[in-house]
Amino acid sequence: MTEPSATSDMAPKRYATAGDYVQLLKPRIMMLVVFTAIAGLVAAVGVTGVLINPVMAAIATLAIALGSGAAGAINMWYDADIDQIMTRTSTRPIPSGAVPKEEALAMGLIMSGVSVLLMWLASNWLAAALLAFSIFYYGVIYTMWLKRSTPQNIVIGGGAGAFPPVIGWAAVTGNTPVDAWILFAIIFFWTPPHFWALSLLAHGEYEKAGVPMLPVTHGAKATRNQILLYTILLVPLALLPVATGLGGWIYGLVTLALGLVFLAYAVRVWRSKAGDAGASAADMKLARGMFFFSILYLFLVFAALIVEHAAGLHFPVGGA
Amino acid sequence: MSDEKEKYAGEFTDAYTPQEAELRARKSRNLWLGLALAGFVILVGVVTFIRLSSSDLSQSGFYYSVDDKGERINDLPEGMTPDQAAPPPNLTPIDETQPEEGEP
Repeated sequence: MTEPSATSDMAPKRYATAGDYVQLLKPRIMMLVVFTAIAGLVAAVGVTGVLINPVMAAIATLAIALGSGAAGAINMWYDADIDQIMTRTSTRPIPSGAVPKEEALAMGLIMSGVSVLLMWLASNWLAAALLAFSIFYYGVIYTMWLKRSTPQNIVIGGGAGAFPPVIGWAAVTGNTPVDAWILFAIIFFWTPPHFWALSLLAHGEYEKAGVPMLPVTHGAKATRNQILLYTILLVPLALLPVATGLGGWIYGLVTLALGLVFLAYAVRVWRSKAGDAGASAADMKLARGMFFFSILYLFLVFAALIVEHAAGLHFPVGGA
Repeated sequence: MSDEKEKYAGEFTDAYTPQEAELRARKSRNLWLGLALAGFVILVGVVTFIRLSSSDLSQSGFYYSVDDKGERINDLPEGMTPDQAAPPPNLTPIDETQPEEGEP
C-alpha cells in the first residue's frame, strides 16, 4: 500500500461549503446503499415476522447511510492523487482544493465510529460488526489494496457494496440467513457489469491514472465478454428469491422482465465495439445506456421486494 | 485590555487575517458541525429512551415484570423458572421486604 502523493495544495484553494462535505460522502452511492439496506430490513420483517421499532429501524438505516458516507470519505482521501488526474473526478472536494485531505480522513474515521456505534445501539452487535466490516472492506480492502493492484478490483471489491441488505436483515433478526446472502449475491454479481459498462467509456482516464481496470489491462473485448458472462449469471441468480419464497409473483415477474432487458443490453454491448479505439458514437451510447439501465435494474428489483413485503402483496410462487 | 494593545502595538503585523468569505465559510461549517453533534446526541437519547422503555431486563424476569400500563406483575412470565429469573451473580436484586434505613 502506498500513500497517495496528492496534497491539499494540489489546486488553488477555495473555501469549502457544506455541499463539499456532502459530496465527500458520495451521496449517489449512499442512496443506493440505503435503498438496498431498507429492502433487506423490510424483507426480514416480512419473512420472519420479527418486528423492529420503527424509530430504531430508521436509526439503523441512518447508521448504514453514515457508514456508506464514511467509506466514501476514506476512499476520496486515499484516491485524491488519481482523482485529480481523471477529468470525471477532478472536481471532487479534495482535488479541487476545497477540503484538505486530512479533514476528509478525519471525517471518514469519525463517521465510521459514529455509524457503528449508532447501529449497535439501535439494533445489535452483529449488524454493527457487519457495518464495520463493510466500511473496512470498501475503505481498505478495495480502495487501498484491490483498486490499484488487480483488474479483478471491481469483482472482489463489489462485496463492499453488497453488504447493506445483509446488514439491514441482521438489524432486524440478529442473524443472517440464506435469504440475506442471496440479496448480497445479487448485488455482488450486478456490480461487475454495472461498473465495467462505465469503464468502457472511461478506460482512457483509468489508464492515465494507472488504475488497472479490466479494459486497461485486458482490452475492451475481454471486458465486453466479462460483462456478458456476469449478466448471464446475474439474471437467474436474481430469480433465486422466488425459489426460496423470499420473493413472490410480483418480484418474480418484475425481475424476469428487467433481467431480460439487462441481458439484451449485455448482448448488444458484447456485439458492439464499445471501448475499442474505433468505437462509434452509437456503440459508446450503448455502453452508457447499459450503465444507466443497470442502476434502474437494481433499484426496481429491490423496490419489487419492498413493495411485496411492505404492502402485503407477497404471494409466493406455488403458494408456499 | 488597552494596555495589552499598547504593549503589542506594531507587532504581529504579518498575523493571518481571514477574508470575509473564509469567515462565512467557517461559520457555516461550524453551524453544520454543531447541528450534526446535536443530532447525534438526540439520536443516542432517543435510542436509550426506547431501549429502556422496552424494559428488556424486566421482560427477562430480571427484577420484575411489567404489564402494558407499566404496573408490576409479581408472577414470573409463563414457563420461566425462578432460576431463570434470578439475576446474574454479580448483581443482587433489591429486596423490597427489608425496611429501609431509618424505618422501624
